[in-house]
Amino acid sequence: MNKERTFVIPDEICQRAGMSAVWFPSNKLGAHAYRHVTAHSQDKASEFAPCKTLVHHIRFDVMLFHPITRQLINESSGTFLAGQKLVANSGGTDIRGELLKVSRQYRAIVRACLENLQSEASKNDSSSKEICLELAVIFYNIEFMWNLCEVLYVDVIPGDAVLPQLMDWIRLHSVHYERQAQAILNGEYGSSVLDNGAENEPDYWNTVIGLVLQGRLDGARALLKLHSASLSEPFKSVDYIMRTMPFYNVFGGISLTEFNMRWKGWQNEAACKLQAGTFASRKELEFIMKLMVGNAEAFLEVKDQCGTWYQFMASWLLYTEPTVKSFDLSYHAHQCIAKFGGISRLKHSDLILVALMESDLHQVIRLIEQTSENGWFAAHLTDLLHHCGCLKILDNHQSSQTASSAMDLREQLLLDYGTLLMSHRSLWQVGINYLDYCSAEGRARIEALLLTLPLGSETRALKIIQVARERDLHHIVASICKIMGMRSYQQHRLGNALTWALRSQDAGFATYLANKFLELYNQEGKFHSLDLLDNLGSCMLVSDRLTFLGKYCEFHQLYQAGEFRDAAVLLVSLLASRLAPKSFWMTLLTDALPLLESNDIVLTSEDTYELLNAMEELLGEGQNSDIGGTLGSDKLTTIQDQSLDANSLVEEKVKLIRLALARNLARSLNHEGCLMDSAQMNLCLRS
Amino acid sequence: MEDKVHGVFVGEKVSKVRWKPEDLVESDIFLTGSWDNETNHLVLWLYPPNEDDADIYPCTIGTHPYDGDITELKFINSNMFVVSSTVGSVKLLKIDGKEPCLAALKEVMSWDDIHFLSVGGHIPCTGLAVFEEDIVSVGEDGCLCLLTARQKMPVRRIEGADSCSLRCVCFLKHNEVLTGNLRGQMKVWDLKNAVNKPASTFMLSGEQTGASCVTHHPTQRHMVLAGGEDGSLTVWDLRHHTFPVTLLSAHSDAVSELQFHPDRPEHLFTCSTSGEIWHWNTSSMSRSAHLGTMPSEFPRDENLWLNSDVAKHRLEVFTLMPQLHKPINSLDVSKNRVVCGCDNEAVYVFKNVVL
Repeated sequence: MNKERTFVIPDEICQRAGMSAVWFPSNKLGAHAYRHVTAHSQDKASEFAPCKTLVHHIRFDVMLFHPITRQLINESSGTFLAGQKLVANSGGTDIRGELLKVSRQYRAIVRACLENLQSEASKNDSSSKEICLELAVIFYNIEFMWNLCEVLYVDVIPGDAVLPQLMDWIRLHSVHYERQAQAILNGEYGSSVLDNGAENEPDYWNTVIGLVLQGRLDGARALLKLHSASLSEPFKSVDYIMRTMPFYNVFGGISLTEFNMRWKGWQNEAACKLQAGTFASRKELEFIMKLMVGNAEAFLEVKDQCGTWYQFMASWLLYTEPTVKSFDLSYHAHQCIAKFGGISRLKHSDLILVALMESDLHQVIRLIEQTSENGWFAAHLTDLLHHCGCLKILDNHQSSQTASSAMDLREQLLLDYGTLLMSHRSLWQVGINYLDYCSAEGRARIEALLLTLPLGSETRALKIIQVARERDLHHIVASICKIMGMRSYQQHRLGNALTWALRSQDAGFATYLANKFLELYNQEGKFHSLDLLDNLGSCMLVSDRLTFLGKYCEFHQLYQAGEFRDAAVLLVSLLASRLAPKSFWMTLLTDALPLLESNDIVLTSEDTYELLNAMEELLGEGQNSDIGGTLGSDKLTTIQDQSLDANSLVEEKVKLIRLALARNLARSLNHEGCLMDSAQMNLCLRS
Repeated sequence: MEDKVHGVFVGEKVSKVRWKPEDLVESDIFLTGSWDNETNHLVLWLYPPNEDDADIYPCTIGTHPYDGDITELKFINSNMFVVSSTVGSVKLLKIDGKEPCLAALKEVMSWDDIHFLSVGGHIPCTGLAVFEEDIVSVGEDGCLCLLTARQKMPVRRIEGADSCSLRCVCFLKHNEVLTGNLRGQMKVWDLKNAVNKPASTFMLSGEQTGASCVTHHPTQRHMVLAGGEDGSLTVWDLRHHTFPVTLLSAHSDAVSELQFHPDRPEHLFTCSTSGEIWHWNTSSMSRSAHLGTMPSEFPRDENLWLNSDVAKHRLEVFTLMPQLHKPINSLDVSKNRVVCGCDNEAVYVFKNVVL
């Protein structure tokens, strides 16, 4: 439908300057005031400045997202998934029977939705009355067409005799005469019916004819019995003919040819009675009989009573060719359409019906796509037809180009529908289900769209991660974790940021955060988020810096617990393994001071050598770089300001450490020497 | 089994569902809260107990719009309940219904923005626990907030109770709460202690698996059961030590809620984001234990969940319905009826669950 629609955006600046718009991911536009700038335009504030500029967000109003139809979206997605599972598990066996159930389920869902829409629309105070009515019309049509589609393509009818199902379809969707008949049958005439006959009811004959046309002969007989002359001979004959009319039933146990014979016999008998003038005394009955023997003139007279060409066609076939094959429908359809004013007077939904009868499924889908229910119908129906193999048959006798496009057609429709759902704040999980079944492009689309979803709370983020993880989209998981981590970091929640970094094993980010922790420690002399750092476990192995941070916290834990020897070993190993960042060495050496100076000898001579070694290495480099114990460059400036102070402080510290190292070395050597001696003595004594 | 399931489509993803507790009689009203919608709703549903008539579905008897995603619902008595949401607030609401099929929800008290960021702005409140009129709330800010239904001012805030987001909380005693965080660190807090330090800390598992829900045994409050983000169930006996007694890998994805049957604690119900809802039955074990068929290995008064080896091989697990394609977010049990709320925007009620 090439209808253009204009929307006015109330914005003064836009009106004066002109405007431009940019697509947002999925279905949104950002419109703003804009004036084109070229190489020749002057670089100055525009004449509109200063002004309040606005960016307008525009999005499609998707009818399908109405609260009532949302239930349909969710319910049908369950059926859709069940259908896909069915196909996947079938392993090539015939599952038409199962697919018929799926099709019926879809229709039941639409019917339930219709009911909800109608009850909502019937509420007087309902604000959404109009939209509900509009939706009700749309979904009524959907169900109507889906039903025919089911009869013609999904249901497997042995012998291809479609008329019984076709009649069911007509009866289901035009209940006018049935209701009238009901009204007459349980009518308030009471005894007057018995006295005067029901024929006094104005719609009596109309109703009878209507019932006959729809093949509801039981109803018609019941009505005729209410006629005051129902016991007369013509009525008895009609009743007999109606009662004996054979109806074809696949499971009736008779073959098609045998049925045809019986049916012909029945009609001949009726025609004979008609010609013999049995009904001549009763014009109405004669007319009904004419219809039942398939008199073309009589049928032309009831054209208006049928209402639509397809009802006319069904009635006509019922009394002329009850075993019509589905491929003949196209011919009969065109015949009947011609009687109703030709193809040019058909409505959109009629065109779909014609296309269905012509077996032109591509045309059907193309027409359906133009109906305004946002692709729900097209996507689900095409998917179902695809699984029934109807689209494949089509490919065989079409050119190779359309053959490949038939496969794509289903996928394209699912892709569109899924993408539409993904654009909704809350329905993204449903959308993904559909994209999952687009083998060619689905995955790429999921990847692209998942990243555009706003993350919101952690619960929501975790749900998105779950969806990504289920599909092995690890890079998306990583990037969501990174975003969540960065967000926590910006909110000054380092602990939580680190948790997110660890979740995705993000070494770079973990290192960065570990540095931040160390920097804060240097500034404040205490650690943040100790509950986290003390319990890192094996996670600390993600990055060297984090390992160091974890171990350093462990050192403090040990130290506070009074386990000096263990603490000392850990400290020395941190330095010896070069795990500690250089800038932190001075802090570590300072931490060693109390251990060096303790009464008991905690550090062995070898440990002391390691420390000395580290000290020399640090000082050797320290001549041309800053050793003040900073990590971030942002602190450099402040350090330079107080460089004199700091330098003298560092020198003081170095002196103290050297002294402590020297003393400890002396003590430990002495002690170790003694131990050695005693050990040797022990050896001598033993030998 | 399926014919006992009644599903209703709500039109909003359901984040929490709770039966309205009733004294003595069976509850016929439940409450749902939604999430991930522009405006979320609290919805009251009527589901009258019916014997054979299978075609009575739950119907709405009241709705109430609510700001933010609803993260937890807890009743404090038969018609007052507390709600937490992602805008960092906790509210106390009352069911105001004079007629049986028309009810209104009225706000009684509101604790706004009790979970907030140091840099400004609110942050989701992730969980609630109630003990009579005491309410404790936890949030993504790692803060623990103690409230009481009687006053507007929070009784106590433990700022920085955790450096990570807190995900779940439950009361162990009137003065003890247990919290679980995003990386599976569990902390026990003694609320009488004025120092803002946990009484004890332990991990859900060796890996950094977040704790998604936690509950205690209805009669033996020292027994704590936690569900993890990887779908595991972990059991602790807090009397003895803080190492897990039993670790079961259960669901294939995060356990979203677990609940013991309030009157029949040998039954446990769990649901998961993988779309599973399970009924764990340990009564056959206790029965055989009482009969003395397992004399030596199974002490009579021992809780079955705490006896890891036996439990692992003897648990009877039933699925209440075929696996859904969407997460099941919440469940609640009342007598022999279970209700669950899911991300496919439906609530399912199971009646006549065999206990």
